[in-house]
Amino acid sequence: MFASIQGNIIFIMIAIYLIGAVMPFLFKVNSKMSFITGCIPGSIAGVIGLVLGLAGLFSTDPFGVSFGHVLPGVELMIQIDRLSGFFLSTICLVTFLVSLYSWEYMKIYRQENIAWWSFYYNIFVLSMVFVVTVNNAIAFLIFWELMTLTSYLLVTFEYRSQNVRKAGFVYIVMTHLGTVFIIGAFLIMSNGFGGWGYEVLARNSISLTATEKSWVFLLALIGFGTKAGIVPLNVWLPLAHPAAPSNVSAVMSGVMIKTAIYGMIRLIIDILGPGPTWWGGLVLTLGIISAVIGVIYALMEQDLKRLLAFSSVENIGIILMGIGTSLVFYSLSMPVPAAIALAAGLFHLFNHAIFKSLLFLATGAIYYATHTRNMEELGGLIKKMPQTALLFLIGAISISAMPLFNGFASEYQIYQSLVTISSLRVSGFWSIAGILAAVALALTGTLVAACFVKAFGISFLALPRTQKSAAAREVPLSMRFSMAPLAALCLGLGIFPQVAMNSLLGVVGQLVPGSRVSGVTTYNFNLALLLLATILVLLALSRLLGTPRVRKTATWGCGIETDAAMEYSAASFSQPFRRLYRGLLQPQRKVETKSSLLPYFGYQIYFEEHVKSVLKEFLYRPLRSLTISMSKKWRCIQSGNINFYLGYVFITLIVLLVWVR
Amino acid sequence: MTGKLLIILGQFSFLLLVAPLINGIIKKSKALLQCRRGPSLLQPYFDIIKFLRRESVVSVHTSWLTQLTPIICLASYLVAGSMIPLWQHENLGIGDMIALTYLFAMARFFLALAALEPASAFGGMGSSREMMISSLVEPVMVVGLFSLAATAGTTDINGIMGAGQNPAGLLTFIGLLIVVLAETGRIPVDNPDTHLELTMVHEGMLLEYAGRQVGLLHLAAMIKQVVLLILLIHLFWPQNPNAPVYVALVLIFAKVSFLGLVLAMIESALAKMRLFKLPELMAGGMAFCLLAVLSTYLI
Repeated sequence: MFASIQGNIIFIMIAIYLIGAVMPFLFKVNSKMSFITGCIPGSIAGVIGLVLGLAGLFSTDPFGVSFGHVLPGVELMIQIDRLSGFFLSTICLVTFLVSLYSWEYMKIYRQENIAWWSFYYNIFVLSMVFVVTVNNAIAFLIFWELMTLTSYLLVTFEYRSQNVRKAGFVYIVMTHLGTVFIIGAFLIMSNGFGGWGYEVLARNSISLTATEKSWVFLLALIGFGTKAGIVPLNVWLPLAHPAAPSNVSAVMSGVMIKTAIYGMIRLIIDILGPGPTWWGGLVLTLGIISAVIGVIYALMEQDLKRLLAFSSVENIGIILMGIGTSLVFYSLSMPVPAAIALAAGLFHLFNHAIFKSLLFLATGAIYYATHTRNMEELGGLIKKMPQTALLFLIGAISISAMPLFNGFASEYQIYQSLVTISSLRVSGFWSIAGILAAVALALTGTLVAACFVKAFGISFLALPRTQKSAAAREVPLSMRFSMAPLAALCLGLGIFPQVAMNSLLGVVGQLVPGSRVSGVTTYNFNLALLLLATILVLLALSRLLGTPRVRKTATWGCGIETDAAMEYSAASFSQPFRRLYRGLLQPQRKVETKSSLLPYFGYQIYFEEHVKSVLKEFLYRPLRSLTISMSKKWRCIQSGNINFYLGYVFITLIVLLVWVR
Repeated sequence: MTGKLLIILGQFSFLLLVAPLINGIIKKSKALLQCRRGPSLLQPYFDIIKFLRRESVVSVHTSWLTQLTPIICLASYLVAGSMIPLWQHENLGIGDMIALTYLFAMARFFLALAALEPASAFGGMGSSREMMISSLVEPVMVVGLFSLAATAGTTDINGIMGAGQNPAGLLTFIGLLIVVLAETGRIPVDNPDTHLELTMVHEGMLLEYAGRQVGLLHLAAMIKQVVLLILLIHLFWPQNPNAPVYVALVLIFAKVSFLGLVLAMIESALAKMRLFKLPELMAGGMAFCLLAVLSTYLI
């Protein structure tokens, strides 16, 4: 009986999402009611989904509901086990707040019909919910594609701009290519018989040979890696995220790319089972490369949303480092460290969902107030929008892994797993690899800190650089209100990391057999308290001792009045890094001076600097020209005559029939 | 609980009391090495007391962040210092080298933000350079500490006490000494005595601070220096854990002073490096630490 109650709740949740998708069309275009009916159902369904997810996360038995056979041999069934529960609650938590935020935020897109946005958005969220809860490969692929299509429509919501259309095109091409690989992985696993349910696939995969397993692993890694945005498959990410409205980027970066990690874990760890050690090594290496390359490019960006998009690449890298370490332990038959490493990766995934959506929403608030995302046009916002500034700062501190906040808590766990891999002395190779991975993580950490000092410092501090930021005003209450819980979670999980780690160990216990871990050393709770207490005591002491006289005056500008032109800019902040990593970035600068009669005063300087995307230059461009030249060679068979095409179809059919026999 | 609190307060007070003196010793010995008479050993105390009581001038462009930063810096260095046991006592259970590294990073993060606030180019320059240098230094620090932690199998600072007392430890020590030079802003990385705009890094970030705030920041920097030196001693030159409290404190003071003397000698013997030569220096430090790792695992 209990299960059917949950089944009814699932039906209600789906119905509410559909209401949110359709209702706004019933009202006048962009009327107040159309905003409300588009956004509020998403919030309500989000809360229901969150409850369902948490129920799944903490229940021992999976529960679910069947929709019957929608396709021959395909039973559409929602089944929420612990892993699904974890991802479902992450998705629903973020989308609940984003839907609330969108109500006010979408008002700046009034030139379009908001009803269409609501339609795409609610279907998009619903398809994500299905992706992480269905228990059938075909249903998974259908909703995976639906998720891609609706997110494509959301990315190209401002389709009038050429750049947005281009970004959407790159996005859809890349993710479709990725899907081809995922389909390949499922095809090998199904082994030509049985059904498409995960249980059947898991049973089939036992009979797969080692080579076939490795093929499934590689195909799944490429396919899901494209969606997750690992280097070198990340080209779409820095294009698509800035093109989409900020609330959509928050969902895409916060949770959509995490569905790819879900796919990876489900397919590789849950269904496929342990493999050779090189799997873990490969995932770890890709994680390191994504983390370091991602953050270096993030540091070069002047556009806040592109910066955040590159930083998502970096964080996916850190998550993969956790998963890769886990796979290594798994293949060495050490289930307990494997479980801890995987839980560490999942913990970072959750944390990233929280602070990245917070940062995207705060960037959306900046855009709402100033209509720009370019840091060089911002500045001084901490005075104009103090609460948004505080929220952005909390996001920035968390993502830079400062103690007290959640980013540190999960990175600490990943460091611990790397220490374990170095100290277990399984082999000299893995000991050194563990230390090198820790170095990469440390390097990433400092670069992220630099990146977010730049992002916050240039956008929010000092003097406004343009009229746009000087005229900024604080955003409406509902927007700030929807960001606040995310910020609170950042602090809460930073102080009580053991809560998250222990529930995640439950999730992992379901996946990795023999890995029941009762507790795990998280970074010490007392340390967080001590730090907090010390700060408070010092503050109180400095108040109690009485402040000496304070004089307020303008900053000394060497004799002339300080103005915004003297401030350090975003480009100048990252200049030392550009020089440090010039081998990778290959910066090209152009400086022109136009002097007038007075050589020292009033002459103009034109300065321009670009960094190259090495991937585009050395991977994608050759690949594209190769494709085009190959296609040119094949063009001779394209006569345009329909009879020829019918003939081709016939020949293909015969060849296939002969081959199958 | 009260016992632990007392121990923490004891560690805090030791750091607060001794840090300026160590700075005085380093300054004095540098002066003597350079054939100057130099300031009194107690001069840093007088400076800090003077700063704490002085009127402060605050830029109108700044916000609460500028006011909060000195407190956060001081707190994070003090907490970092309380992680390393100075004498034999019950394990506080808070000592962790990853947390220690990240506490330093937190202070730096806020300092770099506060440097951007007054809208002056010098602060921005200091901030950007500090973050760049830290991106070079921190990996070396982590590889040094990790090589010791991996041998001991834990990241707990109590667990890796004296972990560097082996031949490979000597290599790690050289690597970590370079880290200490960089983290404390000493020659060849940064010059603590300069106020020449184009060369300063750490001082550049403090440029717009005045009065009590600058006093707190100077004190914080001195504490950071002592914490790093104590960390080196803890890893490579630990003392008898059963010594009574006063012996332990005197011993640790003597050892820190000796290391301070070494720092002064290094500083007097070297010239400041150009900023973009630093990657080579830090690569040297990294090479030493990696050699230590290789020799531990392969030989």
